[in-house]
Amino acid sequence: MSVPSLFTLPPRPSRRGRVAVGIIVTLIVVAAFWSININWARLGSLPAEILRYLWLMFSAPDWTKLPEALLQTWRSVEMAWSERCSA
Amino acid sequence: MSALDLPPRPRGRWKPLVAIGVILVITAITLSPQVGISFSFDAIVRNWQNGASKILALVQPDWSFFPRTIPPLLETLEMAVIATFVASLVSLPLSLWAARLTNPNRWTRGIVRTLLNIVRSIPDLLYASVLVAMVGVGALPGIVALLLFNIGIIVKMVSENIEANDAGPLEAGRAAGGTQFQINRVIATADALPAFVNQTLYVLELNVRASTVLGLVGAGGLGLLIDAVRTFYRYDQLSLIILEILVVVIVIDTTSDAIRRRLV
Repeated sequence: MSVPSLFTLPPRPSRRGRVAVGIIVTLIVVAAFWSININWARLGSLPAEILRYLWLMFSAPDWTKLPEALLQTWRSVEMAWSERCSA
Repeated sequence: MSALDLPPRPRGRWKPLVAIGVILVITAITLSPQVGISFSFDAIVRNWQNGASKILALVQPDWSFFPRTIPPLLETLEMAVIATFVASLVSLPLSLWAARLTNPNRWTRGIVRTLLNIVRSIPDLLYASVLVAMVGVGALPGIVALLLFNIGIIVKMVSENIEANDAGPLEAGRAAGGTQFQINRVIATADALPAFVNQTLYVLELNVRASTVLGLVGAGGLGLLIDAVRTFYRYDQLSLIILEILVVVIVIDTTSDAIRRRLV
């Protein structure tokens, strides 16, 4: 075995741990995509549906609900405050 | 003033007392029956027997129900893994766009931040219920809801971490003639990686818990089963599902801790 001189670079740190974790994570993700029961074709209709629902939600908001919505928002803030203080 | 005199007491010692007083007043207002949420200890005391019987059922899990919980539990885990994976792919570039140090353009940064504020302000359960109406019942709306929920969290946390990082290496990269893209790819991404991995692992844990609830609105996973056993007052079966979620969350927490130690 040759003795390293002062000018040789130290060996690179091992990347085995990172590679192993990467492989395991990849396997888990592939297995999840493979085994889940989803009709991915339905994703194709999603953009059009999003636009349709955004139109339904924001084209003509029902302003008569505003007072009730504000009251319930205030109640939500109160619940969050009370929960935060008791925690 | 001689050398042995004590220094004067610091001013503003009353400030913490005032802050505590303000907190107590606001808490009293929020709990009051007139303007608050009408919190009542009476209701708890009156219904304690009802609660006690349910807690008694919860501490006696129905182990024979275990095989029926496996497929929905697996679906919940699959939803969590897929949503975390896709969100992590989308979030890293968005985080670089949302941080001042890595995106000096005020307009694009403002647009990204505004969009993400909107995305973050909507709860995951609301996303899921609207998405179920859009694409139908199943795991797909659950995954998309989790994805939106995750992007909001990861980008917020990672971009704030980038902002808090030392700007020196980025300035050195700029001084060396690097373009913003090169600086972001070589320096900023490496700096942000520990925070990014941390947040992604945290989001995976969040997703497991969130995806169990999304099923309540038809978005797949354990939630559908939880809703079914809750409807039939089968608290013994519900407790088994809760135990399973607890075990899964502990396993994920331990594993992600080990991964974090190895990678970060």
